[in-house]
Amino acid sequence: MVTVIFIAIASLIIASAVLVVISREIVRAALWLIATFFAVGALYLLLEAEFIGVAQVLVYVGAVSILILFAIMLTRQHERHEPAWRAGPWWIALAGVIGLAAVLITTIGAVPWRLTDDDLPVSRAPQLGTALMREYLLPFQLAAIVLLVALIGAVVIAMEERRRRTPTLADDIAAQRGAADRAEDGTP
Amino acid sequence: MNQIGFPLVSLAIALPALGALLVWLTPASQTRVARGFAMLSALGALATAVALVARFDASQAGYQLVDSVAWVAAWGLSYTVSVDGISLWLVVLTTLLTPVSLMASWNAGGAHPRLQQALLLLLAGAMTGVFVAQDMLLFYVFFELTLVPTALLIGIWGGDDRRRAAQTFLVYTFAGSVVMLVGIVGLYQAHGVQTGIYTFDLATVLASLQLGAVQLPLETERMLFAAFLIAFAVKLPLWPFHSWLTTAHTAAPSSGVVDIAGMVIKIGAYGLIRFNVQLFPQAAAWAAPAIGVLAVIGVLYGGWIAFGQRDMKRILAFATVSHLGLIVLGIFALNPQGLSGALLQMISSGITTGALFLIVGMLAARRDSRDVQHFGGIWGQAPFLGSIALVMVLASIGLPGLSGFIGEFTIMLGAWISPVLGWTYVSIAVIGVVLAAAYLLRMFRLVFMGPPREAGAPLRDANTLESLMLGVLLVPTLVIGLYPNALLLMMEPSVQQIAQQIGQTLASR
Amino acid sequence: MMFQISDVPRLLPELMLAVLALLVLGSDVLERWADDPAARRERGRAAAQLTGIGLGLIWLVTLVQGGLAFTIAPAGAAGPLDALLSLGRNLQAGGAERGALLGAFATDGITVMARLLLIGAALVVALLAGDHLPDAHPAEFFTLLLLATLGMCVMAAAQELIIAFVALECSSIALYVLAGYSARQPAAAEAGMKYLLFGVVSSAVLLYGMSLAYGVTASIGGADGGPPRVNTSFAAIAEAVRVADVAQRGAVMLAVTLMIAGVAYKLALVPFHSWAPDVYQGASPTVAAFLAAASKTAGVFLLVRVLTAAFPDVAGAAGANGFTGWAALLALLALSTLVLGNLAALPQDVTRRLLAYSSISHAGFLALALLPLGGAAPLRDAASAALLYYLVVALIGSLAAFGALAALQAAGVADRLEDLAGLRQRNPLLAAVLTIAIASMAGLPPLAGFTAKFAVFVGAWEAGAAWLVVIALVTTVIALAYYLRVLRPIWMQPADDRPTVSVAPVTAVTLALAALALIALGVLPGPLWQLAQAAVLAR
Repeated sequence: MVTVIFIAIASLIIASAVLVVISREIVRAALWLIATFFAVGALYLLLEAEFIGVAQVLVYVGAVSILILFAIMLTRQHERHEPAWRAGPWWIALAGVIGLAAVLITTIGAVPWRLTDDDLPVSRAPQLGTALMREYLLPFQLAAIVLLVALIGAVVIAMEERRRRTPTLADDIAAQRGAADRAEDGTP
Repeated sequence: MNQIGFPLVSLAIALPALGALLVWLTPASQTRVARGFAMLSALGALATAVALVARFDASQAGYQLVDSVAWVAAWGLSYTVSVDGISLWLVVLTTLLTPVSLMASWNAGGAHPRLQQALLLLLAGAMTGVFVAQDMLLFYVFFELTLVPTALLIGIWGGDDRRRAAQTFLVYTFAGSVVMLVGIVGLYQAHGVQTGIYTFDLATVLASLQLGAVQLPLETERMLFAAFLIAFAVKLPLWPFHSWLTTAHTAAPSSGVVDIAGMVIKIGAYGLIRFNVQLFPQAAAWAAPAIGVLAVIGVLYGGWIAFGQRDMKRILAFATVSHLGLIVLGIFALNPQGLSGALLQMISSGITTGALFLIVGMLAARRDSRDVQHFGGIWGQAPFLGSIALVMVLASIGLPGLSGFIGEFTIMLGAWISPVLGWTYVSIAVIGVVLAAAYLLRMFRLVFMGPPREAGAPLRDANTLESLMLGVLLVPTLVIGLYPNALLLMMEPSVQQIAQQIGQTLASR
Repeated sequence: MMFQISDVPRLLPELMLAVLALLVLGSDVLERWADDPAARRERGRAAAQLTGIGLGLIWLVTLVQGGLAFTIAPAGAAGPLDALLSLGRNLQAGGAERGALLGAFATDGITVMARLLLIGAALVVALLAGDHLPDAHPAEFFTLLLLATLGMCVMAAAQELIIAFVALECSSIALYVLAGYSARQPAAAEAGMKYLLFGVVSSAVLLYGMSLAYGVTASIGGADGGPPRVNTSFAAIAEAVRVADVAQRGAVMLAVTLMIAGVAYKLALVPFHSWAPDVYQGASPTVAAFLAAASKTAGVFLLVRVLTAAFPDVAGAAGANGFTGWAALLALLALSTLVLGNLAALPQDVTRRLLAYSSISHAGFLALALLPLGGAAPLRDAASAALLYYLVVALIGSLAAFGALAALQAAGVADRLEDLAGLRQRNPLLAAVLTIAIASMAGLPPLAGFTAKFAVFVGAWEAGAAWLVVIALVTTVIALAYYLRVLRPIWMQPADDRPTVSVAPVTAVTLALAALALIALGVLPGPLWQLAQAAVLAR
């Protein structure tokens, strides 16, 4: 039973992640990303790590994805910019992926992993909190610095955008709506 | 074992280097001051070399006047310099040629004179270092240090093809020396594993090999021998590695400044004696016949190609290839006669060919050509140049009474009685000597004899500076020719010792 | 296992880096700056100077605190300097003997060495960047530089999977932004984007390997029948690897392979190198210098930690004694990197691209130097010292070379080889610095590059990889051929009517010092060698 659910969730994760990459429309890609986050949250629940599962949904689906959507709406450039991409033939990539998957599956499948039904030390909120304040204090603190770095980086990139301000999607919609209004009014 | 006393040998390295620094620091406007510094340091080095000869104890075989300071003790690396009978005269030759090359540089008067003099002095210091280094890695360091100034001298002041020639020179010889580095690391590692002492000290390694403290398997010994051989064969150059040499000499500035400085490509021959023969006598005896064949081919090939050339510098370049073949033949005779003959020939051909390069440079500067066809009948216009050229040509050919004869004769004798070579090699190599007579005399005849080719501009004879340069080179040519024992006596113990070691090894085989 | 207040001195350099980063950022954000060009320049300079001074101070504190170069004698008679001395004594109190901090952060000699190297590199880059300020957001530039350095220092000390990964991300994210910093230039934006994509993928690969290693630790505790005790520390992984059976060894090797592949991208080892030329060329030259010097060094330190602390039992060999374990993997990477990196450098016409490929090929030497680290104690220690020695020399060499290119770019000299023509006359200092740096990279004695390569060769030879040493030596000849293509125009071509090149004073002094260091370390390798040995033995 668990295996069936796992396979279902895993396929959902992979399929939505692939769709994120191949979607041409960036808003659709963002929506598929939300689906991926959801499915990962479900995987955590399956592992009985409720806290992390809930946190995943709250933080990623509730906050991160919304921010991403906001960012797209506010900063997307009007003109579509196709990056010059030097991609090799797709079948080489496919062969590489299949080969890698074969190696991973055979090797990992051959290992007699020791499994347990006991709770892991970090599965529930109290243990998690204790671990973060004791054994994992240093990585926890360092993660704060990583966030700071990401924040500064985002500011640097976004402020550059602001300086050479180009119409955003929101501007676009407003302009269209304005045009439509004017058309309804019949005034040029 | 830090040495007590006056670091005479180190001084011979340091003085030119110091001079180079001073010359470089002199303001560009102060030409005379720069020249003064350059000449002073070169003469200082020469005086040091003379003092070395005076202090040298001719009755001893080993290293003398040792300066030794630990460099990186953890690696067994030390700064150890000293002289023995083999390196002594090569140091003298280097320090003698340095002032001459400086004077040639003044005489030619090209662009960037300070840089040129500084590079010449650096080259002199590095070459002296090669001859006196008794630590394998130190030897390698000096060996590589000689490359850079030479490449720059060719690349900045050379002829049309200078950049490619400089690059060819650098890549060729660097490739060779990298192979030598493999040999050094291999020997270092073998010595360290077998004795527990990791050291680059040549004397220690030599003693361990001779006393059997380090037993190299046959293949290992041959591979190490090959590693060193490749490096020195490229550096010499031994046929068929010669192409960089002729390119370099052809592209080098016409004035002969670099050619004369480069005359101490004898580094390769020195390395063969010091490393290949001394450290690996068994492999040397094994490889001697094959190397002898290459050497004889070199003698004939150099002579044959030289005979067909019209560019005087190319004639001399191929003559050098030919001479070096003879020297290698002497070294791999593996007996005292061959070794001392090779040493003597190294010194003699350095002086005579160097002088000929200078004369070619003077002629080329006067007529803006190095083609023998553009000259003729110069004897009447420039008798001094002509007579010196004649002496040098005759010395080069091996006329008895001049320096070349003793060397060539001793090499032939050594190769004849050698247990590993024999009379066949000698009888073929003799053809090369005949060829040498042919192409050098042909060059002399075409340039100096006959009716003047271009009636227009009479050539002026050597000026004071030029006479001085040639005079300096004339003296040792005569001295070595008339009284070779002055040199041979001091070489004798060291050469005998090497030959004795080889003899024992061959007997035990 | 709790964090004690007395542990603070052991983390002091990292804490100071974080504080300095906040100071630099805060002093810019909280100040009201005018918007004219002069004020903007002043603003950038203020950030650069604060960063430079701060990094210099942190470097000195690290030197004292590490106690490698000297240790302060225990308290004696009270003298006028006693207060200062006791401060130093307190700094030196947290040494290696107290074990890793929280089991996650080693404060041994290698960490000290890594801090000195990385903070020193950041200092040099900050000094160079002071003369080549980015066109916008100067304070953020230096803040990111500092935080990237912080992440690298932690990487080099990691004794546990999670902190290793978080530290790697900390430095990587900062570097992605730095690589694309002058985003108005399309090349820089492209560089940042490429670096980001490659970095993210390799992070994923690394993480996958880490998760496998973590899974393997479930087998400890199995011996006494108790529940598995999974653990992320390298020590636990090493224990698990020791007791692993054949089938589990397969997973272990897979984990090692993936982790090496993930870090190999940081080092730009072939075949994980393809981002490097584009990024080195597209990013601003100071950032390229930082990438080539510091980022690579940090990656090597992380590999040292992972391979020696977590996987010593699958070290294997790459020579006469067989071809197994991660030594064999590294040998293959070294082989491909040395051969392909050097060959690919030959036809390059753009100076910075050529040096990027040369930097790739140097990573091959690093892999060669890592090879013997799985051996027995005396050999391993000598090899580790050789590795540290090589890292120091390579760091200074790339800083000097890329720094000189940065100065050239600032002076408006274009990027192609022929634009260097006659540099000997146009700016003798830059010509000399470039020549010394390149000759050192080429391994010409008596420069530091030669001694460093030599030490690495001896180590690899003793580990049985003599075949690889011979190949490496052959590739140095190829390397000389393309290095000459840089040196030839500098020395052997006339300047013609190309203008002279002027260099800002701070840059000039920094570069001259770096070049002098390359000479000094080559002529007198002893002191640095002793320092490296002391660092290796202080564990």
